Amino acid sequence: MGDDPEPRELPLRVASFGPRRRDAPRPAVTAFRWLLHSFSAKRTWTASANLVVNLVVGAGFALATALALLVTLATAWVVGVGTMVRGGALFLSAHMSRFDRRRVERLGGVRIAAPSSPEPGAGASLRERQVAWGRATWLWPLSAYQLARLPAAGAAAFVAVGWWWATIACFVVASQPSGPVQIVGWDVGPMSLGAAGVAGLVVTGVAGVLAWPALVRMAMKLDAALAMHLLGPSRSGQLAAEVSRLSEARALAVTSAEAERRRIERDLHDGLQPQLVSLALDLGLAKARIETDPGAARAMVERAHEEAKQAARDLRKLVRGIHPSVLDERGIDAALSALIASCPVPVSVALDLPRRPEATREAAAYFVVAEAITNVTRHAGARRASVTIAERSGALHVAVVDDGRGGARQDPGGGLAGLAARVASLDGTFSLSSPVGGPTRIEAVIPCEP
Amino acid sequence: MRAVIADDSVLLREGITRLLAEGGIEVVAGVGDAEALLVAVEAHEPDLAIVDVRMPPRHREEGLRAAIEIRRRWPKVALLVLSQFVEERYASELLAAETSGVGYLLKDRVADVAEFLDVVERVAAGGSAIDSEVVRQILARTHRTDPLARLSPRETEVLALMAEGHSNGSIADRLFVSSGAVEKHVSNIFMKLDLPPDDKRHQRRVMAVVRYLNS
Repeated sequence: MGDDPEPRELPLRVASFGPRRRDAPRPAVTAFRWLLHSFSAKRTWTASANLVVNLVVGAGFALATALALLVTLATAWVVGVGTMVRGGALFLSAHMSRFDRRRVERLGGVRIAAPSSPEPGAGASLRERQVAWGRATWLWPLSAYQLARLPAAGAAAFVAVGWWWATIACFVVASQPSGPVQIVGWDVGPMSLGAAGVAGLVVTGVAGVLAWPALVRMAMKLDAALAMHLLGPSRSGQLAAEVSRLSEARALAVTSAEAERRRIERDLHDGLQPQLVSLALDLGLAKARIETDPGAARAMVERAHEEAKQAARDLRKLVRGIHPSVLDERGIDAALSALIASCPVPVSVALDLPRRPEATREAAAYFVVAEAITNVTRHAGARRASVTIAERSGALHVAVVDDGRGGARQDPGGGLAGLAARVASLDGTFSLSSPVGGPTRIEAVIPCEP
Repeated sequence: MRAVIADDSVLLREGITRLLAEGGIEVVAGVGDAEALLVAVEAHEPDLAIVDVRMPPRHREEGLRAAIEIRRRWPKVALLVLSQFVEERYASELLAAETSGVGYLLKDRVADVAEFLDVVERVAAGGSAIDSEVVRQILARTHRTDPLARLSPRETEVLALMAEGHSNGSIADRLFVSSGAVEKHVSNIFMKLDLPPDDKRHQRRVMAVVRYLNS
């Protein structure tokens, strides 16, 4: 079930026990705050609720799983039916497990990634689906969880009930130090306790109440650990996911390099080549006429001169567009000067880089800005644009915003798509927001550290 | 006048040699890398060195470093740095110490023979010449930063031409205004850039350009 947006495990949320400043006024006050906080913390109550939910749901799910497994075993020998039934059973436990993953996340604050889905294509028949599910061996731990969880939830509930029973008993007995005492079905009989005994019971009872948050949180942690173990992706599953992510990144890198080569080829073919041919043509004509019509020849030479200069300008622009050498030598700040000078609208630049990023990442950031500025120049109809580049929490954040008419799209094979691929090949993210009417915002986040 | 040329392209070296010959400038040595350039300058003590930024062995910024080195060791040698691309950062570094007798131009400019010879003369005579492309880059960067923001568009234009090393007369010709008008713009620029009037005219001019480049 790939419906979890972030297949990533978050660490257990550590409960924060009130303010822990060093200049805390008095230990007693601190302890009181600590207690108050541990009782008022939402986690304590969600964890308490989990005890109940887990028991009820666990009983139902365990029953369903046990039945499904029995039917699976019973039909295992029937050719054709066995696989389908097994698929159905595993499908069922997959869905129950999804519920449990959500339960652990909502009540325990622990996010568990789902193992990747074996879903066949959208057009597959029910039978094909069931066969695919039946072959998915990674589903077995999910069934194991559904069976193992009931005893665990039961034990936790038993301890919790016993805890409260004992705690209440302490107070009840202490309130009636002499005389017959009956506590929830247990006839204690006549007792006679001294003052020390009463005090001891009261202290034990208070301690029982106070320790409740810690106890219930521990139960939640154990529950989450079990779920993490059996409901999360296996080690090999995680590695497989990593491998597919890396091959995708590599394919993107190749694609973006390929697109870049095509763009250069197109620029040379459409721009420079005809310019040089036209230049040679004009010079050829001038040569032919230089004796018969020196005036016309002179005009042609003049035109050829202009054409040659234009070709040199265009070639310079093209070469700098491929990779400005100043980027390697002096970094992105220096390289941006020529870029923003080429933009007809005013561009403000804000850089916050404590150090120079690694070369490939710096270049990717530069080209994000370059492409964005090209778009501003060509399409945006903007009055101003701004570029911000900052390094924050181990990533380069690049944003280019213009106040133009918006409506920019990421066409396949276009410059923006190439950029998105380039950024993605570095494990980064690229986003374009350009509603019709503007503003257009191009953003890239490129991680700097492994 | 005697000049040394450093450029790893033989084609360009010969082209520039022919060009300079046109303007009556003798090329005493043509070399292909930065090391050879320093040797040649030491041997010939020319009036002018024309240096390409990118040269062997690494094809990065050897020429720029050599130019700064020449400025340090032989301050009398005028420098004209040529480059396939101009970058304001390099211009600021090159002009950080001194702007007299220094030029920084796009290589393309050699195609305009008369103008290029004009620049060579100006730089050799102790003037400065900054490519208009560099000026454009600096302008784009300093769009809304003071004190340059205080300049009117016309004054900015005049300052840009000053940065390129033009005299008031030459600026007047280019902007189709009287030289009196240019003088007025120039004194406004000095005032707006807080350049004290007791400086010598030339000094203030250079200061304005440096202010412009370093902002």
